[in-house]
Amino acid sequence: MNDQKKKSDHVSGEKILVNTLYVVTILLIFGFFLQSITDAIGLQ
Amino acid sequence: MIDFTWYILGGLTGASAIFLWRYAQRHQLNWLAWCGLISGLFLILFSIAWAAGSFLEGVSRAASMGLLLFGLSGIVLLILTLRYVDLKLKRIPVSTLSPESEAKTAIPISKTTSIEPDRPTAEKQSVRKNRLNGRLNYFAYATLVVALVFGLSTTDKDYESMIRAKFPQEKLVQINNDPIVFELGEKSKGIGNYIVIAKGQGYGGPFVIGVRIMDDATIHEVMLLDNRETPAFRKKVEEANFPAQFEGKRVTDDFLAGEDIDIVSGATISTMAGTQAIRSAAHTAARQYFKLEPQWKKDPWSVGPDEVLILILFVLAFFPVAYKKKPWRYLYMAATIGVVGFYLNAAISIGSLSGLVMGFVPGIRTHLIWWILVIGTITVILITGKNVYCFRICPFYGVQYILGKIGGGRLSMSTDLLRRSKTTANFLLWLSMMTIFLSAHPAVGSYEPFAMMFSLDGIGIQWFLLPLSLIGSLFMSSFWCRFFCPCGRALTILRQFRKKTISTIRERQALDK
Repeated sequence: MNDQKKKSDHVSGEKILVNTLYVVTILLIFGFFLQSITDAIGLQ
Repeated sequence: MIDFTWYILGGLTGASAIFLWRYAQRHQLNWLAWCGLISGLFLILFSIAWAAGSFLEGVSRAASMGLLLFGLSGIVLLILTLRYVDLKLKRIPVSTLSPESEAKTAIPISKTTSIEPDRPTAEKQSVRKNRLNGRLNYFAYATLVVALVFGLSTTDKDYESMIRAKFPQEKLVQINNDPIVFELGEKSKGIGNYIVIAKGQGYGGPFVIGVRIMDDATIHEVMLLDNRETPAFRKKVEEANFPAQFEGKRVTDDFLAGEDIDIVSGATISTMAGTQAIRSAAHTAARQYFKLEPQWKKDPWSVGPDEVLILILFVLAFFPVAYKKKPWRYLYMAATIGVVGFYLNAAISIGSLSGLVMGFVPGIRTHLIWWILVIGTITVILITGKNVYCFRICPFYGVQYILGKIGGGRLSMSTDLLRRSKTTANFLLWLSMMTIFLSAHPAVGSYEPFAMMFSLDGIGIQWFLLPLSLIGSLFMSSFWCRFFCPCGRALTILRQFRKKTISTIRERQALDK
C-alpha cells in the first residue's frame, strides 16, 4: 500500500514537470505569434 | 511596457503567496519544506522578471539563458520539495479544516442527483462530438480559403514611393511594367540610370529587390525593398553583406552561384534566390536599355554534391533497414542532422508548405534541394500514402531522438492534456496557416525552431522555444514532433485526406456495380 502511494506520488511529480513543459511551450508559441504579427504590422 | 511587467509580477507574487498559504493549511510543513517552496517560487519569479527585463532591452539571448538557468532550477526545486512534502510529511485531514473551506470542497447533493437522470448516453455524446468536430473542420477549411484569397488579393507595396524617399532630389519615372523599371535622374547621351525591380523566392517566401544600374552598365546598388524571409536567414544574409559583392559588376556578367558569386553558407536557398533575381534584373537591363548582346552563360541546373546527398537520403528513407536497424539508424540520423540540418538548413517547415499553397514556388533548376524535399515528400504521400519525411529525413527528429535516449524520454503527461493534445496541435496548425495566408508572409506563422537551431541564430521568442522543446524531448520521446510540429500535422492530414478520398471513390465504385 505504502509502495503504491510512493509510486503514484513519484508519477505525479513527473507529470507536473512534463505538463509544465507542455503548457509553457504552447504559451511560447502564442507569444511567437504575437511577436511576429506585431512585427509584421510594424513593417507594413 | 515595463510598468505592465511589474503589474504581472505583482499578480504572480500574490498568487504564489496564496498558493503557499493554502498549501500550508493542508500540510504540516517543516523548515526544510518552507525553504524549498519559498526558494523555488522566488527563483521562478526572478527568472520571469529577468527574462521580461532582458527581452524588453532587446537581449533575447540573455533572457533565454536566465529563464533556463533560474526558471528551470526553480521548477526542479519546487517539484522536489512538493514530492518531499507528499512522501515525508503529514497531510492535515480535511475534517480539521475550517467549516468554510469544507463547505467549498463538498459537492452539493442536489447537483449530483439532478445531473444523473439527464446525462446523455455515451453513444449520443459521441455522435454529438463527431458532429461538432465535423463542423469545426468545415469552419477551419472555410476560414483558411477566405484567408488565402484575402492574402493573395492584397496589393504589392508602393515601390515608387520607397525609391522616391531614398532619392528625394532625383527625377523618377516608371518606364516599364513587367518587370517594373524606373528611370532615375536625367538621361545623358541617350542612356539613363535605371532601377529594375526584381522578385525572387527565398526559403521563407518571396522577396523584392531594386537593382540600381548606372549609365556605365554596372550595378551600383542592390536595395531590399520587401521580404518575407525567415528572420534567421535574413540576419545571416545581412551579416555576410551579401548584396555588396554585386556592386561594380557589369550587367553582362554571368551572376552564377559558386562561379562569380559567393553563396552564404547556412542561407543557401535565400542567397541563390537573391542571385537569380539580380541576374534576371541585370540581363533585362542589358538587353532592353543598353542594347548589349547576350554573352552570359545560360542558367544551369544546380546539380552538385549537395543535391546528390539529399537525393541519396531521400531514397534511403524508403528502406526500413536504413532508418530502423542499428547501427544504420544512427548513421542515417547523423547524416540527416549534419546535411539537411546544419550544412544546408533545408528542413521542411510549415512556411514551405503554406508558401507552396500560395504559389511561392522557387525554380527547379536553382532550387533542386527544395524540390526534392518538399515536392518529393508531397508527391510520395499522394502516390503511396507514406510519409517519408517525418521520423526519417527530418533533422529535428534526429536531434530529439538522441536527446530522448540521453534523458530516458519515457515520461507522459496527464491523460487530460494528452486527450486534448491532438486538438491543440490542429489548432496551432490552423493558427499558423491563417497567419501566413492573411499576411501572405510564410515566415510570420512559421513558429518551428529548426531554422534557428541549425543556423544557431534566431529572433526573440524563438530563443525560448528551442531550449524548451529540446528539454521536453529529454523527458518525452519526440516532444516537438508529437505535440507541436505544424508541418508534421499538415503532412498527416494530407495522408488522411488521400486515404479518405480513395475509400470514398471505392465505395462509390462498389455502389455503381
